This record gives sequence, structure tokens and C-alpha cells, in this order.
Amino acid sequence: MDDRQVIKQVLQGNTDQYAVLMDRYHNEMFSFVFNMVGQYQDTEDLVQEIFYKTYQSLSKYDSDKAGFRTWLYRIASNHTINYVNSKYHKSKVASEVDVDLLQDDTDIIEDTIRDEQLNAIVAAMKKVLIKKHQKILSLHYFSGLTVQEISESLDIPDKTIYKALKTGIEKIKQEVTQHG
Amino acid sequence: MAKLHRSIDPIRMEEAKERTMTAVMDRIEPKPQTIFWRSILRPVLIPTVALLVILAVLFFPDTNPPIDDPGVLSAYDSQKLAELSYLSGNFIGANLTVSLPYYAFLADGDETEFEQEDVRINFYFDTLRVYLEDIDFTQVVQSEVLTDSEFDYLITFELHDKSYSFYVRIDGSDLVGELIVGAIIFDVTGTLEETDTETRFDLEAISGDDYVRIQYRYEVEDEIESKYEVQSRINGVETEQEIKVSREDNEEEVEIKDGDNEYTLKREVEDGETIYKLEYKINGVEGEARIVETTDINGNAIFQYSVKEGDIEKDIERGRPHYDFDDEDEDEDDDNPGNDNPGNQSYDGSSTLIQNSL
Repeated sequence: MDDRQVIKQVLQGNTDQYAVLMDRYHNEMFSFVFNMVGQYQDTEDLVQEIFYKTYQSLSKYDSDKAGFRTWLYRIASNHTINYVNSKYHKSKVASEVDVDLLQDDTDIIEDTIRDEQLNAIVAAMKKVLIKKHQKILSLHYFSGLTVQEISESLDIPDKTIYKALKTGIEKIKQEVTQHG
Repeated sequence: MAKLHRSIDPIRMEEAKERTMTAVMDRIEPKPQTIFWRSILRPVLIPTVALLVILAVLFFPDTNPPIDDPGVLSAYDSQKLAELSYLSGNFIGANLTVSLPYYAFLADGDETEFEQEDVRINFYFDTLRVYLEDIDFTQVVQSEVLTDSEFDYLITFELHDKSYSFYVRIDGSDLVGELIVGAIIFDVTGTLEETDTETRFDLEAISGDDYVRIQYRYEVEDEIESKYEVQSRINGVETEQEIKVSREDNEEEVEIKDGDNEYTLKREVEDGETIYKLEYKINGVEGEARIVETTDINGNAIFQYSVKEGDIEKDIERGRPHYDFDDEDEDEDDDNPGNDNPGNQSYDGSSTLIQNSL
């Protein structure tokens, strides 16, 4: 059963089927949130909220506009960035960031990097970027979405995504260079 | 696969997956006819279940529920709720209890507009500066399950060394309760709704002819913004205040509209020292003040306001606001040697003159 069929069943009252969607996307969401937050318990809490929020909004989902996965990322990025930006998330001090990690090309090599570096990048994003750009950059770096999928997820043209990536990365580089 | 990623322990992720699926499915429940109500009910549950369970976790680690307890909500939610309880309780209590004396007769010839309102400003500063600091609101709220009561939960918190007791019951999408402040009991009703980008909470507390209404809006767009609109009538005096707490580009500020007067409070670091800055417009006159907190020889908190208003510059000192409760057990409190916290006393310094106008 594809996502659309599962969603249809859930909306018809067969709510057990929602577990299928969670089973399908949990690890991807967990990975995305964990990349930004860096704490297991916070990540688990946030992912629970994301799936619950998604369930609550399921009747508003329009499959003609976006795939379920990209729509889920939209909710996940919103929820996670709200948390990261809140006073309850303790920002780590920006330090020791290898600015070469920050590239805007789509073929960037996947890389597992040290927690401190990711914490510093997230903290810099929070500090210097507006929320819209935070979403774009976080989806670009921390999710498995392509630029086209980010465009679909956020309902923003590709061109704007590329522009935001470029200016956002420059700002972050500047921030970590100045304060790193 | 993400382009930049942390190393994740796959076992922990799988364990989290199992707990998450169980918790979310338990919250959903296969009752199609109640989906709409549950979506509304959940936010209403937040101030109760979250405070009950999560705060129990925070305060009483030995009694932790199982980690996959579906009632466990995120620490983020519990923080928001504790914050809401803090501010709501504070304004309800303060509308009852803050002494607002008149100083006009003390005018010294170059009196500022600031001094006309300094007690009120002092209260705002004392209450709202928490938004400019890293305050853990859950430290001020505790809760317990009531098993033999018409109410489901009791939420208690201490503000300015006085206890607030909030008995609450969930009734559909509504919240019904009693807030006890000193010897006064308020009947409280409220509704809480949540959308993708906005949380709305309407609360009304009534005691006889007195009332306090609070409308709370929490919006998330490019900036995070919480807005409180407070309307009250206490002893026949009607007031309206609007408080907006916003955060953008890592900066937080609190804006207050009180009738035609406006105040903006910010925290800044100058030469390594944290100071608070207040910009205001009172009776059409603009001014600003730097605020520094110190303590007097008795350990009482003192706020020093360096006011600049037009050509006038002056320093004004105020103790913490005086919260004068109509408390039946006041004498008992006075006899309690352990209850001599400075915040529980009227500051008697020569620079702070407190008169109870209520």
C-alpha cells in the first residue's frame, strides 16, 4: 500500500493504519531531528510530537501538492526549529567548525561529523538566519531531501532555495569564522 | 541520507521507535467519532497531564513513570505550560495584590512621568524580566492527581513567596477550575486550542464582581511571539494590559501596553555586565531607563532605575513590589520564623514608600 492509500484508510477511521506510516518514516525523522538537536531524549519527544501533530493535520494533507514524506518533513522542520529557537534548547558555543563542510552543491559528500561541529552549525543557523532560511538549510544538510523535494516540502521555488542556501551558508561561515 | 549527520546508535533509535509508535497510537485511539474532540482535547490535557507526569519526573525522580508511558509529553510542552501558569497566575494575583500608591504629592519640581508610574513599572520588571533570562518555568509549578475531589488535578505554584492553588478539571474541550489566591477564590473557566502555527488560550477568573480575563496567543512565524491580553476589574477598577514577548534573531524583548502607556524591556550586556533597558512612553512622554538589581544590607532586592526623560536625569530606587494579600493566616505566617523571606515583606527603605491602595 502506498502512502496515499494508507492515509485514506486512516481518514476513514482505520486509525491503526497510522502505525504503518510511522514505521515507514520514523527512522528518517529521528535522524533528521537528532542531527539538529543532538540529544536522544529530546529527539524522541520531538518525533512523538511531530507524528502526533501530523496525525492531527492529516485531513488537511493534499497529496496533489506534495508527497507525504516531504509534507512530513515540513511539519518536522517547523516543529524542530521552533524547539531549537526556543529558550529551552541550550545552544552550544560555536567553535571548531570546519567551514568546508558547508557547501551549497547538491553533490556534497555525505559525512558523519563530530557532535560539536553540528551543534555549532545549528547554533549559528539559529543566530544568523531567519526562520525560513533555517528551514531550508536544515532540510538541505540534515535531511535526505533533494533541493527539488525541499522546494515541494516548503512550497518555495527551486531558485529561491538555491539563493537561500548560498546566502545562508555565507552568513554561517561568517559567523563561525568570527566567533569560532 | 542526510548530507551531514551525527553518528546514531541504531539500537537506541529502534527502542525510541517502539516507544514513539506506542505512545502516538495510544494518544490517537481508534475512535473516529472523537477525532475532532481529541484534537481539541489534547491541548487542554497539556496543562494537566504534562504537569502531572512530566513535572513529577522532574521533581520526583524516584517516582518516574515508565518511559513509554503515553502520558509523558515533551519537556518543551511542560515548559510552555509552566510559563503560562506562571504569567497567568502572576497577573491574576497581582491585579489583586500589588499596591499602587500615588506619589503625585511627593513631586519635587522636576518629576518625571516615570515616577508617576514607577510602582507599576517595578511590578512589570519584577514579573516579566524572567522572559529575558534563562528561567526554567517548571521550577515554579508543581502538580498532583486528585483522587477524591470534584477536580482532577491540583497545580500549585509559588509567586513572590505566596502560594497559588489551582484546582482543575477537564470537561470536553474546556477547562474548569478554582484558583485560590490568599483568601480569595476565583472560579476559572478556560479553553485552549492549537493549530499548526498558533496556540490560543482563553482564561477567565471570576470572584463576585471582580474578574480577570487573559487571552494568550502563541504564534510562530519568522519570530516566536507570545501575546497576553489581560483585562480585569478589581474593586470596580477596570484595567487592560497587553504583553508581547517576542524573540527574533536570538534577541528577546517584552513589550507592554497599559492603557495609552507603552513599555519595552530588553536585556543587554555592556562591558561584560548584564543590564536591563526600559524604553517607555507614559502620558505621551518618551524616556528610557537602565535598571540594575542590587541588594540592600538586609539582603532585600533593590532595583536601581537610572531614568532619562527629556532633560531630566535621575536615579530612582525601588524595592521589589509589595504583594499585599488578604491572607487569613497572615498572623500565623508572621509567627513562622522560617517565613521571613525578603520578598514576603514590605520593603521599608526610605526610597520605597508603599501604600496599599486596594
